[in-house]
Amino acid sequence: MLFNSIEFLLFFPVVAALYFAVPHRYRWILLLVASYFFYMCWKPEYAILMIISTFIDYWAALQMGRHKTKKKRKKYLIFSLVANFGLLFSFKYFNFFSGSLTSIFQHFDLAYNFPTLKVLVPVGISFYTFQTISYGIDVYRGVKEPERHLGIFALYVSFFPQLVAGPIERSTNLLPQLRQKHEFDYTRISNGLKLALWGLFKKIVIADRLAIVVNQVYNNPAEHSGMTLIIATYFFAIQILCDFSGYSDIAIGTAKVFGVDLMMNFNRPYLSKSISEFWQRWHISLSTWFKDYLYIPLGGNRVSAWKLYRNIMIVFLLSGLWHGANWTFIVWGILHGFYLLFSLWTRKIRSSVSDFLQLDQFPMIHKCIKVFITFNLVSLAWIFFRANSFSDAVYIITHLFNGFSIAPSGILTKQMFMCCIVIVPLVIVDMVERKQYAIDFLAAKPVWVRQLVYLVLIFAIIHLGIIEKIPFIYFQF
Amino acid sequence: MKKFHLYISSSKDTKIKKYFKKSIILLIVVIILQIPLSRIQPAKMPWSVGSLIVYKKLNIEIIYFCDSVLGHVDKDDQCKDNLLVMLGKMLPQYSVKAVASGAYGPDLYYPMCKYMIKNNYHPKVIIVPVNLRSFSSEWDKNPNYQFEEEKNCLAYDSFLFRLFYRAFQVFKLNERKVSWNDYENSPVYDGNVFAGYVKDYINLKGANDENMKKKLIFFYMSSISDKHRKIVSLKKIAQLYKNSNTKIIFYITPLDYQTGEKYLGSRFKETVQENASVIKSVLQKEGYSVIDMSVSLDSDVFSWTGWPNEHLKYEGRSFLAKMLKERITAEN
Repeated sequence: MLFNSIEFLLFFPVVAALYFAVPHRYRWILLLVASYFFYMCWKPEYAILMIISTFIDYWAALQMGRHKTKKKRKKYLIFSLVANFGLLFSFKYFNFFSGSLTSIFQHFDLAYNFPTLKVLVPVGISFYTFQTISYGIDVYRGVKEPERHLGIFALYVSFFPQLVAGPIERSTNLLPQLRQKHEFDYTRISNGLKLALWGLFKKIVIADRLAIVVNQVYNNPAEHSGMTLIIATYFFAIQILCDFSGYSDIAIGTAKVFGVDLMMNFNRPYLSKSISEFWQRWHISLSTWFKDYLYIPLGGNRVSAWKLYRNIMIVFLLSGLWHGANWTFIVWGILHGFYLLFSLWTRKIRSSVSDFLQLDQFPMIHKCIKVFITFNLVSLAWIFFRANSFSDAVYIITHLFNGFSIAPSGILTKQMFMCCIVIVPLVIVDMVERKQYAIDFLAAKPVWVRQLVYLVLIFAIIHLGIIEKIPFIYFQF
Repeated sequence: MKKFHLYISSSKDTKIKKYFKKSIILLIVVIILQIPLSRIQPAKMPWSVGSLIVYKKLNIEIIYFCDSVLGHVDKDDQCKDNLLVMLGKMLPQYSVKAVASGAYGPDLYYPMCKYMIKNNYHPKVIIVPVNLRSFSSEWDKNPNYQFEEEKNCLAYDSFLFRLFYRAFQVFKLNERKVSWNDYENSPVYDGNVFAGYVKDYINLKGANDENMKKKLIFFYMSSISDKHRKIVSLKKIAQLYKNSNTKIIFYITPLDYQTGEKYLGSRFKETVQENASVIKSVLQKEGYSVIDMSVSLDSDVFSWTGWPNEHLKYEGRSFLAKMLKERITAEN
């Protein structure tokens, strides 16, 4: 079930109404049933994997809870990790590695076809697997007591607002909230729905409209001039932001209705002044996951220079692989790792250049330059993320400055113009959120202004929304 | 029950009431504002739905439902009149119009009939062709041939539905219910015997003997059950018009059975006739006789390149139009 579907528009109010109608002690059952129904709308059999994952982690955590020493807990943690990564590998990565090995063998004239599995990647497997893994590690570390209520734990794994595309929640944040009694809070529900409305606008009006141009250009890059490739690349940068942050906003907003505060997943990432800042603002739940459960255990930055470089590259290589079983994602991850290393290596030089140009005296200009460079580096990396193949990505990069005609067809030009218009509200919100959240900003305005904004968003969704089916990009992960 | 009641009518009651009151006011405002906005950007309903409304206004007497057979003309035909034009010329005393498009079938004709009745449109004659291939996995399960948009519009069309049709489209009301993956993995039967999956048949290239046999099995050889959704739709059409002044003419579309016999032997014709008899017996029970033209035309009147289908050359169209004309005039 998609958030931007009639089914969800019917499903969500019914679940929300029932939630406040049933006594607190039965609410977890309602949410669990609703979550599994939500998930099973894609393919009922997908739920089996989630059930397996739930039981394994529930049992492993209880076993870990019985032992005081980390040494004794370790075997259960290893069991949990092997099981979770095993499922993830089998369903998401096996065919990729098998295909890659076959290609390598063919390259050396060795005719051997490695076996492949005829399975579809279950929706959201990367998200809920990482969520359960974080729970297992937290219990192992003693940060979290094992959850003894199987139903509540199953709900933690499957909570429908954030099940298929995050935010990847931590047990320390989500589990206590699932146990807590939530009263009907008008302001909270209202704010949640407003956030969900904004998320729908970003997805349906901005991201899906940009997708039309991006898909047209990226599916046939050879037919387009350099300028069109550049515009499509920038558009993709905005599309993926609106698509994913739109989903996160709907997830956070709907969870808020049930009294659950999910973690913030995006914080105006394209206004970052460096790549490291970008990763503190983009897909925050994943980047902090990698930081807490991989980067820091590897030694973080309190190690020798070479180990630091190694740690950074491992984290970004795996981050790329997490996004998809494809070389383009791996290259995208490596590229971001390289950006970070490059910024470490050139820190002194950049500082000298800044001093020489006396940029410190013009902080606004200095900031704009940094934001501009960061945004362009991120957009360049997005080419690998979006391109249909590695060769397409290379073609696009090598042809970015070939020709300056805007578009080959009138339709594309019209679409580009419309895209520029629908981006305006996003820019306004980003500007407003420099000082305070847009919802708080609006709350201080007269009632007619607030209502006008909400009505404009509703009618923009109805009249400017894209009809064609364009799935959430992060669903594939 | 008592607990439930107590829970709802607790101190939160006023807040909940306030919330619902505001939600209803918002809904009313949206509906009111949408009225002028929907005039600026009116709902684009599918062609078939719009045409039925136009035909009602024009008081068209004969409605011809059909798939792509209706509009097909062979490139070598001297006369380029399609089936509809031919029938129209043969029946100058009647106004004849079609609701036809590639892959339309009984599962769509039934909601069309219901829609016409709902809108108080009662043509004198409705022609309902039954293409035996439309029951095959190739056609029946094809995601492109489900016509969710048409079915939704026919089922829900009303003032409010049209007012918010664009919103419904944005929220994927018309999303395909069958995925390509499901289609490719749906079974194909030869009679009642499992004969592989759709994916084993859809990409056949080159009309060699082996591929031709496979295509014929894919298109025509699965046994039809009287529980098939398209037969159920035919039955419902018959029931809908049982005691009305509208005449329903059911006919089974001619198909190239001689090519079928050439590749699959006599069992091809036997299966086709068995399937036709299932349809005929179901409709006979409802009091309708069916014109069975499934095996009435020779191979040379079919217009096809590559694979067999039901498209007709001039001679075939002429034969079919005459048959329909006779039935229409005979019953009137």
